[in-house]
Amino acid sequence: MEEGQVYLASLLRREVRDAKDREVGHVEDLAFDLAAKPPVATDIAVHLQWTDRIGGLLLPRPVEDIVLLMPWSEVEAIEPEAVYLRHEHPEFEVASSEGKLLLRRDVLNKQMVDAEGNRLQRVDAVILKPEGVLLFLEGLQVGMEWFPPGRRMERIVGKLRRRYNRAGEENIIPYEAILRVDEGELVIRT
Amino acid sequence: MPARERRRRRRLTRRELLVFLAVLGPGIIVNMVDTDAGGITTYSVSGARYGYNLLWVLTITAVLLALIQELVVRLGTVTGRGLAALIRERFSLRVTALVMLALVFTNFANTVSNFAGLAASLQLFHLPPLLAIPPLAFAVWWLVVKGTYKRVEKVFLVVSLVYIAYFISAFMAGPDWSEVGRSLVVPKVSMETSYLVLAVTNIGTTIAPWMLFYQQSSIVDKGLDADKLAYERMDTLVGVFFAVVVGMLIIICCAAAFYYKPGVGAFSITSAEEAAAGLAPIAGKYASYLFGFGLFSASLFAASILPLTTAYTVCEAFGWEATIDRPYREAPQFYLTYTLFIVGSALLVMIPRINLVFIMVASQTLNGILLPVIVTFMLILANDRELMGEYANKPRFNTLMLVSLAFLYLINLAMIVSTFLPSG
Repeated sequence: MEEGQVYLASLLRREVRDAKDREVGHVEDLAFDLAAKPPVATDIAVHLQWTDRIGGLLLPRPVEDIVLLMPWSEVEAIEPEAVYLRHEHPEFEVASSEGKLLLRRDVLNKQMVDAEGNRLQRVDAVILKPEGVLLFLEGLQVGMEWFPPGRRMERIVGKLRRRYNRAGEENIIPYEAILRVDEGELVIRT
Repeated sequence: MPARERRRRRRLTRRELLVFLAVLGPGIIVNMVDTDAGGITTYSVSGARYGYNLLWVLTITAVLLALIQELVVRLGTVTGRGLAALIRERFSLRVTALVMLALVFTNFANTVSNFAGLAASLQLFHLPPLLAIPPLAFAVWWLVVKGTYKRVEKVFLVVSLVYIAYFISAFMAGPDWSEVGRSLVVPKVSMETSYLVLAVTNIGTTIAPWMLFYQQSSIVDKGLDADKLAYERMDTLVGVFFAVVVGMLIIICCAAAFYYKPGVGAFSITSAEEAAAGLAPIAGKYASYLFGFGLFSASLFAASILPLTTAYTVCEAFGWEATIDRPYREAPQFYLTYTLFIVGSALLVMIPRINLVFIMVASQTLNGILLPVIVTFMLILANDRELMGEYANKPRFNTLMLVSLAFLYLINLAMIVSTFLPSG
């Protein structure tokens, strides 16, 4: 992994704090717009310890362990120790998850296939690049230091990196090669 | 009821029967393969040493097996994904890699034990294993590498019929059926270490981690979805019933032939091939041949299924192409794993005077650790409403499963401890 890049896994479960610096929950997932070049984070799914209102509406009673999707504008800063939100708990803006691509749910560990539907390998890690408060998708990693990718996969990744003029790490599929995300699998241009 | 309605219902029943016959396969095959060389040995020794006194253990095993396999069937038909894939997606690469490592090792040891059973059964028919094992290993390899799933499944279903050999052997041994009936439902518990070890081993050998992965993968490979859930449940129940009945018949056969016959050294029986050879003077040479034929077929059957399930599981976990309907170039990891398992096991067994005890004991211990862990994963997955929707576990089923799981942890802990104790 190159300098300035982070693993999605390192952000998941990171503490989330509100405008008053109170711990309110942890990061559950991140929604990305795959059509943007490069794909950018649009929403953050936060696992709240509790809440008594959703989108300004007061609930009949407080609920515990709830996951809410919040627009990225709600994110004030991403720090190594926590992600900071703009508003005070529980006055957060919320967003619908309908039609959204969630990296943990839909991408990480999921099956990659080529355009003909042949299985390639699973997504072993998702590589992101923070720039200020924004978060961009760099690519999909195949293999780990202790788990090398197969030779066929190495060839495919090498070809893709040359096609999209990427230097450096050899085991990261550039985001441009992601054709679409179907239910349960990612279609990769090989 | 009007005649037309009666006819309509009869037609529906026939249609349902046809669908059931089409769905039939994964549940029956996995349960029949479960009665492999290790299983036959355990049942033979149980019958020879304790008569019908361990039959009740298999009644409990049947309930546990049916409950766990119901989870497998539901996960497979509802998600359309194999168990390894689901574990990977939920529990990360690191956890999956650890589980796969343990599974590969235990499956390899089980495959070796089945090739050893194959060699022993060949000796019963005076066939030298060194000459017979290579062509047999090649035959099972060829069947999968050159076949399609439908053809392979048909062959396996036909091979399941060989278990009839145990029905005939049991009858030829002349058991006291009224005593058999009583022992099935009335537990006769002994506090002898050897009895307890055998009771635990009977459960441990009947419910193995590999079968959960194999059954779910073959459900997915066969394209069975939630609409076929009821039929696949039936298929599984039929399989569980026959597997447990075959296990019981082996116990009954050896009990009648050795335990209840004065002067026969019941404690001298330590393996399935000894049981088969010992049957000849008591129940006749045909009973002995049938028993030996059963051991031969079961070992051969398991020796082809275990490498297959390992190949499926590993490929699913890491996302490689995993189907027997594709040629080698499209699924190299699948065929390589399958081939290495068969060739490696066959070669290991053919080494003269090799001691396989360590690998067997280690595999049994790992199996014992792995099974409750896998069932825990399955339980978490089956409770995930996002994954299972309306098919997620209901509270009553969860209670039943949690009790079973606690029992499994206890039993497997006992089995691990027992592998380090002298069994007497």
